[in-house]
Amino acid sequence: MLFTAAYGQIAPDSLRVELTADAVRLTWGAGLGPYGIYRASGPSGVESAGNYVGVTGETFFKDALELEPASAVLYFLVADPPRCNQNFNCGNGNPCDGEESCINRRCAAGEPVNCNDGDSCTLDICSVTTGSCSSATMDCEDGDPCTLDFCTPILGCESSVDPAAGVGIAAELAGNPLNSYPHFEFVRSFNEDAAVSLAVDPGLHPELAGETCDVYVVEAKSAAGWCSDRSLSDARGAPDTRTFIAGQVQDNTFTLVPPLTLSAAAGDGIGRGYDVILDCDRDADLDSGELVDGLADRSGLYLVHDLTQPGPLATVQFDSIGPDPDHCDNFFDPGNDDMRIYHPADLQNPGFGGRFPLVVISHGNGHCFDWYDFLGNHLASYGYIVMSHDNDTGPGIETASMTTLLFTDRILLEQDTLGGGILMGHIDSSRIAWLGHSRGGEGIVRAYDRIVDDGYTPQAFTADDIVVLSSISPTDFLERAGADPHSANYHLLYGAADGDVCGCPNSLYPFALLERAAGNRHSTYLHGADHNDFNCCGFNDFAGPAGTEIGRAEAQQVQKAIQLATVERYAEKSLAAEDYFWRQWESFRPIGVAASTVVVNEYRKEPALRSFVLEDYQNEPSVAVSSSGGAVNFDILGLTEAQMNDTNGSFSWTGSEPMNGMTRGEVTDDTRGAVFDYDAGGDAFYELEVIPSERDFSDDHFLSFRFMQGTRHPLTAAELGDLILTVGLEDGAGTSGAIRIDAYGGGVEEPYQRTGYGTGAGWQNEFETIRIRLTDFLANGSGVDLTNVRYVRFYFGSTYGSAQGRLGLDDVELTVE
Amino acid sequence: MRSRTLCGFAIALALSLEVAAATPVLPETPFAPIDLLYARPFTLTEPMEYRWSADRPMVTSGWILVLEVDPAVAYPRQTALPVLYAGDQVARYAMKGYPSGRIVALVPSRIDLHEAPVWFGTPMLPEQVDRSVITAEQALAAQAGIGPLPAAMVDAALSAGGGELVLQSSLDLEPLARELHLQYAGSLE
Repeated sequence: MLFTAAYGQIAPDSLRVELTADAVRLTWGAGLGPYGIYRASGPSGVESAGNYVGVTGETFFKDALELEPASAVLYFLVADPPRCNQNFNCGNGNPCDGEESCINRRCAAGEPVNCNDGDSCTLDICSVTTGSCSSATMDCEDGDPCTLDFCTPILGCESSVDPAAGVGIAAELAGNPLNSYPHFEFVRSFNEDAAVSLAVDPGLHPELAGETCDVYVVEAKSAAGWCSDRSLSDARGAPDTRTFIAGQVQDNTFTLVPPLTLSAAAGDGIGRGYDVILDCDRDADLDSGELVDGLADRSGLYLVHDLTQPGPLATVQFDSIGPDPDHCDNFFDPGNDDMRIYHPADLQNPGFGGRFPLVVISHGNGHCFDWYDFLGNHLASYGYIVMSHDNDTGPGIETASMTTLLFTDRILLEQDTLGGGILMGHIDSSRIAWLGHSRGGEGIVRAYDRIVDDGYTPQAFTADDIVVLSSISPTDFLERAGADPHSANYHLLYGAADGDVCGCPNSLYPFALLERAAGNRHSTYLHGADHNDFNCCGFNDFAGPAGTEIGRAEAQQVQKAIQLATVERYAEKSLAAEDYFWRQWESFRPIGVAASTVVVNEYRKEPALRSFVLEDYQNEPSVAVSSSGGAVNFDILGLTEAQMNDTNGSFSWTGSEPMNGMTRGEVTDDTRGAVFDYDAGGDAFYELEVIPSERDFSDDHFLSFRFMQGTRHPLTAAELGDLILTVGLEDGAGTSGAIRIDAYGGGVEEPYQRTGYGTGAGWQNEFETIRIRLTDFLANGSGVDLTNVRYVRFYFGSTYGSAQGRLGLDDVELTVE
Repeated sequence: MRSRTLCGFAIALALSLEVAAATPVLPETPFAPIDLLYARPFTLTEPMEYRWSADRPMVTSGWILVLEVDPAVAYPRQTALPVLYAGDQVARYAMKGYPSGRIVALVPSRIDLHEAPVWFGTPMLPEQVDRSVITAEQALAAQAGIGPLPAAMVDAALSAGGGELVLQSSLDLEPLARELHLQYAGSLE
């Protein structure tokens, strides 16, 4: 029996051939075979020993092959793998696809050699002669004289415009005016129903004082694009003409794009990019010396439409087994049967060749795979194939995790049969997002942990293919030993009024999974949302104060927008999406989410983008020394550094539990932070000295830190509301600059005023990340020398914001974009 | 007077709505079911892997039961649930049966229902229950005075269940489970 698989197509017998970044991937579906696989230009090559590639087995393997071969290559399956005995060696001469063995007198495949060293700047190769791995530095030179080409371990090859090429000067120009110092925030993303403004700080650009420039807003170009075509054509129809004056940034702030006047259409993505140029010689060309916001391979600004609205693609959904019998009504069936698949309707068009990332949804205990139509169709309308599966959560998390793994393999391996083969060739298996709810939310983390820690090997994907884990109100039964996201991009979506996974003291802590995540991580914490608000049909478990319930519809507005932004950020590398992870919700939130809905954001970047961690309280027990080794000075009260775990089973403030309200870690976790307070008796400060080797902040972009208000503490209750404080930098010469955090639209949110587990009101502590662009400290000629910053200082008290408060602090660090 | 009455009604309605939204509280374990309503033995030709205990045995026979319990037990939740034991076996029950309190359960062994206690033990994940846990839970149940179900209750359930069900695989248990759920809980949900 002979089957053939032409290059790029799929054999009738479930051998799929895919072109990946570095090789041809042959994926074998279990249940048939084994077959011997031969690669030849024609049938006459079959069974020639030199053309033997391997034998089908339980694991897939990659055939090391030059990309885009000059001539067609065919793969042949032969029904009988070679028989083996003492006179026949199963080895195919390619040690890189593993050592073949002879089992029951038939050849069996081996385990492929994994040479991936995790560094995107190296080309990792397996020698087909020796089977050993070697690594060569990636050559990122693109041959474009306009660009500077370099490599970063996480992102691989990147490029930016070479200043020496004389193509303008990169600058931040687009943003929003602020009512107080620094008077303007330079940001990336704008809702389309908000204005975009432009500002020039004469202190930073004295050369522009007195200049009259044409201000252009143009369709975004890449660095290479600007180099090759410097002509300017304003997307608004015509440029503005502005005259800049000496003075302050407020004097040089102008509306650039009124609301709803420029298109935010971005195809099936989010955020339409535009660049901003100051054409000061007014020749409609970008010249050297002219300022450009968007010169590098990112846009100067992104206009974003309402993310709660469906995307541009029509969608189709189908069940792999349903509707009758409805496998969601399982009693004893283990839950390995049905799945609901949502996909762009384009797949139904003959000849459509597009490929889409895959989103897998794993539901919770007692829930159902068909409870996520609102989310599945939403994501599919933006160009995702979404699969929500029957999830076996009853026995526990190990079983749930296996269900996620098996179903992910299933949809990849059976894409040629599911739905009549509608998915075949359209799933990009190198970009998979796992979304899980409740026990499913922990299950996806356990599934990832199984691959990374326990050696579990899926058939059709690897850990590298999982671009993000997004847990909705997850449990944490397995704690650190089993529920560890490792370096996966991680997102937590959670409601403060959750009556199931409540975050009660000494219970399951969803925030603990966030704290364990070592890669990019962000959380979205909704006041007034409960557990089953994030599916269509579970019982109402609202457990918050009367009158604070936001309801399922509003909770799902937030969910649709933020989970779309999350998968877009990590599957499509959307830069527009990132702003929704950290900017003050009061001033920037998705259109379609009510202004009254309170959301608290946390965001921490992956280690490669955290250029200097000033203080994270992890490894220096003394309160007088930071984790980076610098001196700590303060006059705040009751400063305590400890593990962020409330151990006394109550949220009451007793005075003897400094970490009251902290649900950040189980006993086995090691996440630490600091708590302190200041009273109305006067101002106070907390100062971190920067060690000498790290005082040059000029190459960094943001100062980032996270604060929380201590729940039920008398000082929190005394001034219930956003807590405002001031942040300052002081350089080596003693020049300082300071910014009140409410300049950006809000302060540190007060805890959700839920009762229970003791006296008083206030639920678990809610960390909120605040990120301040370092150049904001230079506004209006502050004179701070960013090349020599000696102190980072936090100021508290009525002079600087709120008169009193109880705070927790963590992760004071510098980050780069 | 009329306005006060209306106000009082509004308050009562608001309170009842708050109660309806609250997640029902689980009873303290160990506790026995309120009633055994149905019991039928089954045999499978194809063994099924039983994931509801750490042992993960291959099962070819057991019991299908219908129990009446505190409705809170059947309320779908993510946190640890009381583990249902029958003798030295971990039984499984579906998250269906709220608010009727009637649940369909499966016991993975043909224990003697006249002799073996049936009870709900310490909340935990069933896949983590091993022999040592079962032994400890049996001791707790004994301490709490939980013994075999009354003989008359068992006899009535056996009578309702009927003769042995011989099936090809565990998939064939599903239609019976659905039928029982509709029969015993359907009108109450």
